[in-house]
Amino acid sequence: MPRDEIRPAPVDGSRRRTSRYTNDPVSLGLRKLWQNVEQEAVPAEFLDLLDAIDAASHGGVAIDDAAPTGHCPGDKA
Amino acid sequence: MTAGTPLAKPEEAQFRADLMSVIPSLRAYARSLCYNADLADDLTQEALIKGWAARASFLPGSNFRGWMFRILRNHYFSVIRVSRRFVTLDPEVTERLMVIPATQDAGLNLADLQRGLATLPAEQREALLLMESGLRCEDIAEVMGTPVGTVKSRISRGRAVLRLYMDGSESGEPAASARPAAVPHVMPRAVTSR
Repeated sequence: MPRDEIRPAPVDGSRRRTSRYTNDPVSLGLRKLWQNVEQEAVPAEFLDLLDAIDAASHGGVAIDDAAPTGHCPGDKA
Repeated sequence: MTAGTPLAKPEEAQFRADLMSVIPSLRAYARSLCYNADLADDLTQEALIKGWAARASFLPGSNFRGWMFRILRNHYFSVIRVSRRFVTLDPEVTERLMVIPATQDAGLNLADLQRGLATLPAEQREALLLMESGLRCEDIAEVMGTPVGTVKSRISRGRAVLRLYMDGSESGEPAASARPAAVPHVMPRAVTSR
């Protein structure tokens, strides 16, 4: 899997929003901090993990301990 | 499996693609929570596994990034409760927030900004960074499990402090009136050996 496949992108069909303080130095700085991390190369372990997910989706490898519907893992009951 | 092999279920293929796309944002969010690149990557991987395991509970069309952020956040706080690796935040250490070189960047003094961030209560810092990650206040409220008004208040207060640092004095010390009441509580150790 090519490493450059992994790019920060909106994944819910919506465009990524920018805050209403578009040109404010504080916002620009915070955004820069965030984006600097996003733009770092993604370590190989993540690719391995995605491969494991692929394998699980094909063969049911035990990566999957499904949560009940409507549940976000870690949410309090 | 090799790249390009079609998945059996289109929804799962889409979910997997969504997971892949959200990895950089999850790493940034995890870094902002724990200040440690290695731990942040561990948290991110755990969140990915948990997200995958819970994929059936994700409502298509809802905010996937927010959903994954919440999973990561839940996991972070469950880890922080049980781990002895976590210690009280050292403000000097946290100047290395986000673990990037603090330099002038496009006219911005990120070093001052990072110093300011280190003084903020964790929840203010988190809300500010989530906002600049592209989430709406409503989404941030969902992620943090707080009312929207609380999120807005945290953002407003945090911004006021950061503005002083960005505008500010050489020492980066904000005026007493704008100083947070307490230094952030429990945060992970900034440097761990692995």
